[in-house]
Amino acid sequence: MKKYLFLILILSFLFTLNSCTNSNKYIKETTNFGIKSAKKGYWKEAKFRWEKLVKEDPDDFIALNNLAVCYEVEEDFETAKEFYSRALELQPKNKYIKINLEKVEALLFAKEQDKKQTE
Amino acid sequence: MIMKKRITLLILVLSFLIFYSGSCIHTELVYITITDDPKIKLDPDATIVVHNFWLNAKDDPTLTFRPEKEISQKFRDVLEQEETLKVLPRKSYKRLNKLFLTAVEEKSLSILSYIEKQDLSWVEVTKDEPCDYLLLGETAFEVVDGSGYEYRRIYDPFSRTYKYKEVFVKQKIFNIKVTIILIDVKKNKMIYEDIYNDSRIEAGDVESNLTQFLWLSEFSVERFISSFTPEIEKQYRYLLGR
Repeated sequence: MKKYLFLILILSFLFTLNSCTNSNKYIKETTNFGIKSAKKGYWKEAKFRWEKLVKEDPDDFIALNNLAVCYEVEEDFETAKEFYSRALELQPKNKYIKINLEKVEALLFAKEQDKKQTE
Repeated sequence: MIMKKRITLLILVLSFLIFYSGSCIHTELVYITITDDPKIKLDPDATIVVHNFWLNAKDDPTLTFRPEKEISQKFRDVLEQEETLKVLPRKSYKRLNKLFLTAVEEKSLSILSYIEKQDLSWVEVTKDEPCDYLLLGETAFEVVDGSGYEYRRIYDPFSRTYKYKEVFVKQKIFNIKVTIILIDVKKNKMIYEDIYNDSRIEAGDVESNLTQFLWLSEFSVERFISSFTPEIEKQYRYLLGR
């Protein structure tokens, strides 16, 4: 009896583990497919993939960062900044997100200065 | 009992490996294109008139432009006001062609500038005119006789050695200088000047090279245009992978 119980326990554990890895696999595949698309210049496709991930998990800092890059490509720097900031809040030590955020902030600052000069 | 321990350990190791590989982050460096500020900052709503660059502005709308915008009616109206702004048809080209072909031993010929001197219509543009910037072109051609002796290595099949022979080569050196000037009409001030030089040594005749020169000049205009339309700069951004 004990033997069977132990077997059921192991099987259920493996089943949960499998479903977990499947969802991990899906996230990994979607992220990397987005990267592949972005590298080829299909930014809309990449954006679609990462938006999907953010909808499913709003705390996915990787998808948030990548989505911000998409917004930068579209020249929507304000939204890009928002997404980078959110990603950095979730992962304050990530240097890559930090660099991305600094760059978009610099761009926004330069644009503001230009606007002031033209006015 | 030992078996159970081993299985539990195995499960723990496996689950750690699976979860670890799933959450492992590596970064991929990709660059994205972000438009950068143009070299010359012009008002995006400004009207620019490409004047007298032996390009018929009416025929070639790509050279009568606003940065990244279509030609407005305002601009078309300016072009049609021939009394104030004479945008020449290919008159310059024809004249240039004629002058060039009749010249035998050509020296420096500032043909277009000569034509400009005959037609200083841009001076007539006053503050009231609906034109902000004026793009003028000045081209100078120079054909120099580059004929002379050249040493050529020739293979002698009898002695099976290479010999050097003095050969007279008839050739011409074609020099082109394109000056592009941008004038702020409202302030009556030159705000930009770009000089493009090119030189070629060719054995061909003047006529065949003329087309090339014209192409070069048009290329210079395009180069100039791109200098004040937003440039695309490669900027690096990090995309995160899993």
